[in-house]
Amino acid sequence: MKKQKVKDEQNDMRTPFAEFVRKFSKQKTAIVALGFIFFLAILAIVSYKIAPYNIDAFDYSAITQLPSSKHLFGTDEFGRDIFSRVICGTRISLLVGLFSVSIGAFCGTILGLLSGYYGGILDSTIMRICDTLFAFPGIILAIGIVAILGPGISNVVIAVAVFSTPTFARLVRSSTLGLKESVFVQAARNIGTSDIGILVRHILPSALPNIIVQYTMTIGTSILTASSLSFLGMGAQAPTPEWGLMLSNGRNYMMSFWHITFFPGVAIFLTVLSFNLLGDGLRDALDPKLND
Amino acid sequence: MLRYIIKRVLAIIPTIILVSIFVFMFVRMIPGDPVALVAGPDATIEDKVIIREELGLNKPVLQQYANYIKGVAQGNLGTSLKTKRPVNYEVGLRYMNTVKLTLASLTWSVIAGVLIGVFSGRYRSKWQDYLGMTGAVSGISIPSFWIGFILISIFSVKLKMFPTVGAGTWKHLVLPAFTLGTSIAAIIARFTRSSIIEVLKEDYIRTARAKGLKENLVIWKHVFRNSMISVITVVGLQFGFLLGGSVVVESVFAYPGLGSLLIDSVNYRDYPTIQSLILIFSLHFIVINLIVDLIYATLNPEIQLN
Amino acid sequence: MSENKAKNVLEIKNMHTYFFTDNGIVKSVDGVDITLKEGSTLGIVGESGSGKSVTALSIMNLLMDTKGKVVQGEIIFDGKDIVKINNEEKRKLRGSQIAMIFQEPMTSLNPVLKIGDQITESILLHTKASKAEAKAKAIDMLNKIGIPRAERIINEYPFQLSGGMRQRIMIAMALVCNPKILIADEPTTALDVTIQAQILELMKELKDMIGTSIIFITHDLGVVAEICDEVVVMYCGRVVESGDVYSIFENTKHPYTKGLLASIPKLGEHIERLESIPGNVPNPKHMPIGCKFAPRCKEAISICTEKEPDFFEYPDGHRSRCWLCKKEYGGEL
Repeated sequence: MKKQKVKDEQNDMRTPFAEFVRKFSKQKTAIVALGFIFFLAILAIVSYKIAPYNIDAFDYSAITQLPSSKHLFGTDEFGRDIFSRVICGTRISLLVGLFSVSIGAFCGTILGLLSGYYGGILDSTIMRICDTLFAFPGIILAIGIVAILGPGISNVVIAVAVFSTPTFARLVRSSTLGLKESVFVQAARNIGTSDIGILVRHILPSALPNIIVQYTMTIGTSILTASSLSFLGMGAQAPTPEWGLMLSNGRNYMMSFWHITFFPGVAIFLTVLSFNLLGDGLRDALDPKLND
Repeated sequence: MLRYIIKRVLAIIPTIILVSIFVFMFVRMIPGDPVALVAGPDATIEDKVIIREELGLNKPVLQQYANYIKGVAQGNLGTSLKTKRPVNYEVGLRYMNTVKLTLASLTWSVIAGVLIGVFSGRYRSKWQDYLGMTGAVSGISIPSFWIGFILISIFSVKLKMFPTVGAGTWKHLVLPAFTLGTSIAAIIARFTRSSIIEVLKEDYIRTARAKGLKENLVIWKHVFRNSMISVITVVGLQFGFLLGGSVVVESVFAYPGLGSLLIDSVNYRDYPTIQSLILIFSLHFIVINLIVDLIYATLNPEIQLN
Repeated sequence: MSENKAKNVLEIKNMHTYFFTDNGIVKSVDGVDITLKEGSTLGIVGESGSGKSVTALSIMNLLMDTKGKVVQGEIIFDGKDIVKINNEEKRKLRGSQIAMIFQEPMTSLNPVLKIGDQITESILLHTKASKAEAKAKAIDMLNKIGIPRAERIINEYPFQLSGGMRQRIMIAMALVCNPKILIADEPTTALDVTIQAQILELMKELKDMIGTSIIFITHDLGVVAEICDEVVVMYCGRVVESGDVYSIFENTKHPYTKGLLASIPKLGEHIERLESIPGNVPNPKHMPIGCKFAPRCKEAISICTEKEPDFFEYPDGHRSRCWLCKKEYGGEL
């Protein structure tokens, strides 16, 4: 590291959390992204109530209409209001993202802690399995799992959870390896703390920042994967208002009716973008090497 | 150096074996009777017995696995349930198409990604950085099928510059390769940028500047060569995204490659084909990563000379 | 008026280098006057945080990647104020007229480029030599440095060499274009004592051979005694004492310098505890009023905490920034 002979910043004593909040509050884009995510969360909850039209309401007298004051985003090939369908799709996308990554993070963290802490055959086995899972490109693994389990949104959740698990396992394992021999862990061991106690109360909290950053970035990936699978016909099925599925349905009308594919696409883009920006902001705020 | 190569090659063998086991188990994990799948709904009981015999399902699992591996090694990937032709024939028809698409995408995305990354890293926190990184974060957030559609709308339909679907000429490659490469370029740009920033903090860069070298020389000769070594490893991983992304992109552009074959097979439940394609994709991914590791070793003098 | 007719090759006048961080302004160098006489070796002594390295970086204009800037003052080199010239002209000075070597030889060489390449780079940039000539010059320089098998070393990579060797390469790289000034920022701190002695010997020889003036930055007074002709002592971004090396060691005037000298253990001396200067270097955000050293000074008097002392200059050129000097010399306080 380049040695800057700057006078040392003798900061007033700050807890790590307060330091993190200070750094994070400087990431303007991340804060906007966080705000947008809150907005999406609220939308996911109230969308079905506030939607101007029923998402299943066919209206053959008003098919493929371009955006207007009656239909903000226009209508699709069945006359359904796209605006209503897009905002209601928020719920599915967020739930899929949340569930799949949470399962993956949970399983991966446990595997990583055990693998890193106990080492030996357990470690080798878990790492071999992770290597094998890594050998399959993400979406291909997901397709394979969906091919076995059949199409449907819940299987997509399982598929994404499966291919995110190794990433978390590796991440947590390397943190655990690093912390296993540190002084405070040894001290805890000396006073007789159980292994689980050490893992949960000492090692896990230190690994948490990395896990959180990875979690946020993976939500973006999982929403993209889920909508890709739906686009390919393997995920959500009609008439679910899933964004990827809406794009797939609209592809035949692309030439003259751009709006059918445009708005769901924007929805995916903005949602994933905000999670990625949030993840970036978190990573920058948590990075101990980034000095002022 | 030779020892390093041998070590790396040996290291992937257990992974390949495990992958083959996974893939082998794949069909057997499907709920339902595989014989019924192969035979179809109109088969009689006698037909099913014959098919069971043919598929070797009456033999012990280990032997089935051995037979499967033997078959693969000889190039026999089974018969497509949909077309009734050998799977390797179906694969053979489309293999080169996917290779062309993948190479085209990889080439432009690595070049663009690296250039943007160096640009952003060099002018950190200035407008060039914000521009580059805004582009990059958008690139990883945009669904490829959406970008594909937008490109088709503009360049194929309105401007009529490129064909919409199919393969055959270089023109058919442009839009799909651009679509497929977008998120790859973005990831490479982000990684290159942080690598450049890290290297810029190193003492030897201070030395280079102390010698009075022009900034361009410092960046491209001193910083770049060190950064590239770690960026190479990321490029290997991106290959996996390429293979995966090709599935979606080939669907969007009706491009006759392995990706669209996979989609068709899944929709049709053509399990021999699905199985073989998954095997092909992952083997390629493993081998490419191995090659990338070896390239990394040649670029890093410490590994090369020890 | 000084009797010394030697030319000054570098004059720093009232230089202030500040760092503009998110947490406020850090005044790393706060009003420093330093002169380097031609052909002599000037030692800059101080603890970490005293501003000695930042002074060096300011001369070389190597603050570009940091939040530091020279906000005030002049640096006169070759008749010009090099603070005011543009970046391109500053760049041309680096390596060819003013060169610098750093503290960590292990990380100061590019790991993926050959040694020869890194040396000839300087030559090709600053002179009109051809590649073959540059290579010959590099080998010649390595021989002068006393590096065996120079022909082979040219083609090797830094990781194949020891710390002492790497520091010699650094010196070779710095001197290969015959700069007028060599700034050495703690070049021996990271090395073993025996290697340290060799490097110091080398630098003395080279100085005589090539005629470079040297600025030697260190916290080690033993090294200063060994190699320096003149000394400047810095504290909290200011010069607190300066003079020729004999004067500084035998006729120390400033309490800080006295403290530094007293804390060196001497061979053959039997003492119970090492003397140390009590207290800590002040927090840059909470600088004391008056003399910056007063809070830690054993000899402080009341005026020391009220007003910052000016330099008091003795007839032989020895200067000390201390009220006690004025008092001792009979001036009014």
